[in-house]
Amino acid sequence: MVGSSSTIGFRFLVGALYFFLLAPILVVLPLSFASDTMIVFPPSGWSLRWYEAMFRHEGLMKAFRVSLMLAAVVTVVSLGAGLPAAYALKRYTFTGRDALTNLFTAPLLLPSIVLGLSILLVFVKLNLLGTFPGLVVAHLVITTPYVVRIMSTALSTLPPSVEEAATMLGAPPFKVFCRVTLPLMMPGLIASAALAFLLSFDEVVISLFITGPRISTLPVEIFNYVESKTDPLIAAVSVVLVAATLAVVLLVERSIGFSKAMVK
Amino acid sequence: MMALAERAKPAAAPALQPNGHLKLEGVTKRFNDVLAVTGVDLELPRGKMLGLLGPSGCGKTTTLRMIAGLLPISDGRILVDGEDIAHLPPHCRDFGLVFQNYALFPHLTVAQNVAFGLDMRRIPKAEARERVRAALELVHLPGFGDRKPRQMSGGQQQRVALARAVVVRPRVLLLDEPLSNLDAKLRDEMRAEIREIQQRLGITTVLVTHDQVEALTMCDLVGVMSQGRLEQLGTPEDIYERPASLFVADFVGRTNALDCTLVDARHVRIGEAVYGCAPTTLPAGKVKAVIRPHRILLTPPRDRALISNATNCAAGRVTRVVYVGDLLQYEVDIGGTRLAVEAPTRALSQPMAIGDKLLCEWSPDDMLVFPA
Amino acid sequence: MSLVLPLPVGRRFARLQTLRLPLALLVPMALINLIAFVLPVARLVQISFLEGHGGVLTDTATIANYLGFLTDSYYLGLIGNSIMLAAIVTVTTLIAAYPIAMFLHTVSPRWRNVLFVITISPLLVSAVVRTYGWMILLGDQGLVNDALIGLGLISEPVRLINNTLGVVVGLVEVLMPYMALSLIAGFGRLDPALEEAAASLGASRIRRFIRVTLPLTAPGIALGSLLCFVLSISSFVTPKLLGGGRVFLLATEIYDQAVVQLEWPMAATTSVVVLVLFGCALVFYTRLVRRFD
Repeated sequence: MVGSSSTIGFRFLVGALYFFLLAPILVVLPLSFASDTMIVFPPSGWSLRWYEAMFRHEGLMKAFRVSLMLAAVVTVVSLGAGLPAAYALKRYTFTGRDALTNLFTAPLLLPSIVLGLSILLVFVKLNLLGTFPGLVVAHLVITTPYVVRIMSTALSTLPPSVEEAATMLGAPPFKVFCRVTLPLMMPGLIASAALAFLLSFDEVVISLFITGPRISTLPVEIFNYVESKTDPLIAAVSVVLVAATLAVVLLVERSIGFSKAMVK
Repeated sequence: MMALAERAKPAAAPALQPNGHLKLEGVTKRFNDVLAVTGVDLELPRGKMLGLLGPSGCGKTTTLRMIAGLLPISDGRILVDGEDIAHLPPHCRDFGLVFQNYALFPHLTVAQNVAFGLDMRRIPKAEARERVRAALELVHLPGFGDRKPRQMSGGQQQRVALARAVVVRPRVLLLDEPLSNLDAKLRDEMRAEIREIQQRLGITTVLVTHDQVEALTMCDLVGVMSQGRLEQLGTPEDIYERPASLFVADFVGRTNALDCTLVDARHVRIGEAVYGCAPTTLPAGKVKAVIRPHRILLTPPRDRALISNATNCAAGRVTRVVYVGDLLQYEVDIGGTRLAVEAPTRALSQPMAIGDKLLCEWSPDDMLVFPA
Repeated sequence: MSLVLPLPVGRRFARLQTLRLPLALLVPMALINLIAFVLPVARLVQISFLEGHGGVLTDTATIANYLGFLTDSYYLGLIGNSIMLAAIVTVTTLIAAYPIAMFLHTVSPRWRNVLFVITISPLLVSAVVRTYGWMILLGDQGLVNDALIGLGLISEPVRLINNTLGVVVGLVEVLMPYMALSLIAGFGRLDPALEEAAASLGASRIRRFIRVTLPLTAPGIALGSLLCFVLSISSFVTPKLLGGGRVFLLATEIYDQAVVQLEWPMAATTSVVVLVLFGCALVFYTRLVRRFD
């Protein structure tokens, strides 16, 4: 572009905008090491007390374990449901295929507050409120569309003739899937798994409608805590969350790079 | 059915000679209400190569995929050595298939690609390694085993695909337009190589192509297809010299198709003149007469007396000359009708020019008559 | 040594070749979609036409909920509030994200990838955490107030959270990555040669921007705006936390009615209103795009 990027003023503006964008995430780090009992910024002193408090907080730790377990289960089930669905939608033709594809993606179009309420209203009758399976099903509805989309895209980059070649060479359908389709879809698989995990782990709005005294997730507990208390404990929790997310992303990037290298 | 189960036993193992005598009876494919392939009947002797030739959409690839089992047939039978294999899934048919886009496994090395079929048949590792090595040598790619497909050119990938298909010694080898994605020079080379390999291994083969040169030069039998129907099945010579229909005459080789009136079983009238034609049983009336451009001889008018009465002769004027290197392509106007004529460049003492008056002569046996 | 299988397997395969296999593959996904999406949405619409209080529903169909909604100035105020907030947030986010998209468009590909990742990385962090960050920054004893007092611009902390201002700031930051993504995609279709051509024809920088850059990136602007508007109207976490219970929007009302007051039919009615607003925005967007294509 002609010249506009070279002005110092423009660069300064963009820098300021990036600072604005990242500020809330960056600010939790110093606050987590504060020694104050209230949210004061900049902190008056430094300490690890809030990390200790976090580990000692039973409610938060329990919710953390629940979220972890929940995300893991949701990831596995999302893949188990989304991968076959994507395969069926991409490799076979039948009437209503496009309509079905749209139906599977539709939950993403609904605002989560509306979806949360709707699920609450149905789960009341099904006795799924405040239960682990209920949370799993609720999270599945927002993770599976992504899995289907990503796996569909991954499948469309794999020409059917490669699978047919394997078939002609004597591989029964299951072997074709294991030896040819799956390895070539691995990057997409890893990406969907990571996305499903993170989506479930961070999910808050729908979970607010389903959690209760019997079971709660970490984002919901954080929400409740922040609403009522004004100490820096959540800063420590946030730092751990962001660090964990970064770790997952890096891990995924490495494994995708690794599996892509296998294909090349 | 017993025979199938018996073949599962390794006792039948001089399967060094692949045994596939392929027969199609009334094979038909219907997609909803559309007939893609209608009543194809053909028989291919063991070890011979059949070329299915036709324009896009004629049903040749559909037919091939039905033979392979990748497409279920709507009607008819497919027989190998007398047994109907239509119920067999593609991974049980023991056929080899080489795809137009090679379809190599991108995540496996060349050696692993070639070994895939052997792996599926549980061939022991040592034997498999040796057979892979031999197959790669057969396609002139020795030592390429450790490469990945994306590191290889189109021609090399095609050879790997061929090696992969033949290493398992299939009963029938199927080739789906294997040379379409290659450039012209490579195509010439590969044509000869594929034919050589096919003959050396003696595998019954079906080749699908839209290129008539491929069909005519490589195959023992050629089946010309149009709009789902097998128009003619015969040797390349049959197809070229004795086309069974106007379509075949027109599709294979260059041709003149002239509107004329059939006067009797051996004569047609074009404009004012009457010419002799090959004997036909068609009723008198409007017909199309077909002559190949290179069967027409151009003679200077002064040599009229040298031409016998049995030969067709028409006086004409050159309207176009195209120099193609080894050929000269002329367009000659014989009283309102334009004839395409071809002559090799060295045969003429001097090439004709536009406006030159000359005589076209051709044998009545070279003029075939078809319904209009 | 051979591939030929006994006949029963062959017959099984023939059945597979029909529709049975793809249907079987689709069942788990279809089940999830049915239980957690189709049924709930249908039930939602149904309940909006029912009567009931305190978590108990009757079977009487009525449009009283809708009538009550549309005639109550409180609810109408919610609609107005939500729309206005969404509009303000959308415009502000557009202005904030546009320079970023433009900058990304002009830098070298290596930097572009890095900056792109940085731009969308906030999406990986939970909305609760980001909102909490704003509470730290905007609070009475937060960074912004401390800085302003330190610079001597004010003597007492300014109220920056627990009001609409805080909500706007929070929402703008949360939605910036979405807007930036749309704008970047829009910029991707902008051919640098066009701007060079305009420059060579003598157009000043501002002129070039208004006559070339802006119109060509309009599709990205439209899509990003639709996205932001729709996400703002339905946003819950940020307005609830940064609004401190003093900012009244449709989304907060739905939660309050459903979970606190247990007035499910009204909550359902409010939700349907939100969906209708969604639909209107979408229709407006498609009309706009069609007119300019």
